[in-house]
Amino acid sequence: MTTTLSPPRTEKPAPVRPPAPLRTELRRGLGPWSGAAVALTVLVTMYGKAPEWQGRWADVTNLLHVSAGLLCGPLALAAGCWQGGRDRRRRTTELWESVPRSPLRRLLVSVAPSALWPAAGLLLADAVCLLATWPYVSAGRPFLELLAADAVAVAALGALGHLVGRVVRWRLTAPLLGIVGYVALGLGAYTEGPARWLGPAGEHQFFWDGPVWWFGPVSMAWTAGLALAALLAYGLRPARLRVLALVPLAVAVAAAGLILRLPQDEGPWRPDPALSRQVCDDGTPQVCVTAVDEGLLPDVSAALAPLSARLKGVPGAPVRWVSGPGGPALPGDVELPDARRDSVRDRLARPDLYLSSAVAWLFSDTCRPGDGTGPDAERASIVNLAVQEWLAPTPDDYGPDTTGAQQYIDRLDARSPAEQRDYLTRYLAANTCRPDEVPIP
Amino acid sequence: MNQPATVAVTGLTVRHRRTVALDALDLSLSPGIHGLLGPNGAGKTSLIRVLATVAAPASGRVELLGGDVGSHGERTGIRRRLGYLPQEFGYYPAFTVREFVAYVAWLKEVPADRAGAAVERAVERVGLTDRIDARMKTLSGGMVRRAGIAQAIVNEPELLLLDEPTAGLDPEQRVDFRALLRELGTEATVVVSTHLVEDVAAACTDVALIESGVLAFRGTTAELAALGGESADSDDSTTNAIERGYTAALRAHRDRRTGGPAGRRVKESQR
Repeated sequence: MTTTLSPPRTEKPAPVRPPAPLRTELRRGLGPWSGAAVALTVLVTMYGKAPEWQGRWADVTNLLHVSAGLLCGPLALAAGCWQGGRDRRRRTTELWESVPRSPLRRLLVSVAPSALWPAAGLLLADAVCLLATWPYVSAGRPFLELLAADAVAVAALGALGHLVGRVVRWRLTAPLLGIVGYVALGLGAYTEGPARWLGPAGEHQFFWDGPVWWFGPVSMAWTAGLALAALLAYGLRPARLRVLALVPLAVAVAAAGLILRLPQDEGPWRPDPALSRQVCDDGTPQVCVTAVDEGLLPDVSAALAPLSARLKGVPGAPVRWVSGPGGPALPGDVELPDARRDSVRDRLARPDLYLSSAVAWLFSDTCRPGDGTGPDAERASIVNLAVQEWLAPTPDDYGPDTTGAQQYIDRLDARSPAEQRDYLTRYLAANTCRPDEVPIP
Repeated sequence: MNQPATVAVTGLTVRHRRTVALDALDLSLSPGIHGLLGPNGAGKTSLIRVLATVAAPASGRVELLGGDVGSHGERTGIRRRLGYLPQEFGYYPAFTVREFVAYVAWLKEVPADRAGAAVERAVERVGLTDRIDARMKTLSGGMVRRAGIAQAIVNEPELLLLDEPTAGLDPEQRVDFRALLRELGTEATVVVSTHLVEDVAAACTDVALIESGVLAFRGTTAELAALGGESADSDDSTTNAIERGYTAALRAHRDRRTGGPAGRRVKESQR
């Protein structure tokens, strides 16, 4: 320790500008680790499910949204809670109570790593996944406002966790809060009714829909308003100023009111005509997919080509294969299975499987209770299987055992093209729910 | 003491649940170095905490640097001119010394354009310049204590409150610290709460002895030493004299309360 009062100023370099407290808080401690943990959690989860989302903006947004709500939310709660208990663990509370800086400003600086790092980690993971999706999408846009709302929700959960950590003096509060948060967010996500759209993990599956324009900003107002109200109520001094916390609370309640008025099932999602419009090839029969799957159309057409060739000119055969929200709209339309489920990075991964599914959908009649019974039921079932196998052989590692149907498949193979068309005409005209109507090959 | 009082405490009572830590204490301190002595549990830390505006008194009036601590607006102004090293100094281990002292400078509302120089000067005064960019967790116990003193003086306080500041310092660091105290005491009111009589002997100009929440002795260091009387040992040091004075003052105070003989002797010598 030296006691030099006035060292020679000429030899002294200019003082280093000290880091701003916010920068120091963001650089040190748990913050960067929590951000990295959130980013890694999302990326590992998304990597394992890449074929499910790498092709449609709606799919990637939805899975990112669920990951953010169910995984990052509890993580942010727990990390924030641990950070919030820092002053108690480090015994700095005594010193901080003697300083003039207002408790609210101190709180806002110390809460920054709890809120900002998990949000930054999530946004980084979002950016990586969106970039990985970009080359393979056909139409639409990423729902950035929803991803921003997710980041705000995660930041809000981090801030709320921080406050819990400040208030509750128990070392196990952080992990327990993470577990409780996971259960609560999970239950919220699967709640029936509009309340589930208040939670940050509410799932939506329809890829030709888009959210109403105000849902993202209102969701942000809901979660951020709630967190800000809690921060103000905790940090404002003297106590009479705490009434100011009612302002963000009122904003949050108003936002929640708007969200609760959404329709129960579809919530904020509405069909987007630009995404759900049909895009067709010029083959016979035509193959039509929604605009979001336009990139898959050549592969779908190629996969269906053997089936189209066999059904060419057969009365009752499909005029158009269609997929999308409207389903079969015209006479002769037949619904196609979702091509995206069998695709990886904008390519049909298993055209044989897709063809097999299309044939199954073609012959799937909606039967009533009591249908499909009677003395001919077993035979009709085998014939149905034989026709499907003959039109689109199921890959070896998939589908039911076709040994029993092989005799009928052999008979169909042995017939002339004209006889085959004749049989298919009779088969397509029959009601397969009534076993006695199913023609034997 | 002709200088105006920077600390004026009147009828200060502090209670911890049913225990009375300070009992209607009156105390006034002017610029200089004031040792706050007393046995364990006497109420030293309770007094320091009230002076640091961390704890609120049960009753009494506390004026610091001309402002009333009870007023919210005045308290903020007082805190800007206050330095405090708690008995249990807490810090963030991941911060560097520069970051931590700068953080405290921000909390003490040191203007941003002066903060850089203020941080470096505070760290230099405690002899930690060569470790200024080291993480706090890499410092030894003595260095952490010095970092604690650096944060307390970063705003160049007019009232500096140090609770057991030499705990954890080795003998050489204590000598340096006392020199720093003497330097700080030329401009500010420094209150050092300690149970180490040698710290008081070496650095303090005045002593306040507290026992069981009341003021047992108030005077200069020389007056406290005089209370102990002459030693038969010719090699007796100043420290020993103050230790004797401390013991005598404490016993006299206890006797005053119980009506014993030592109390009468001290009263006569003070006359």
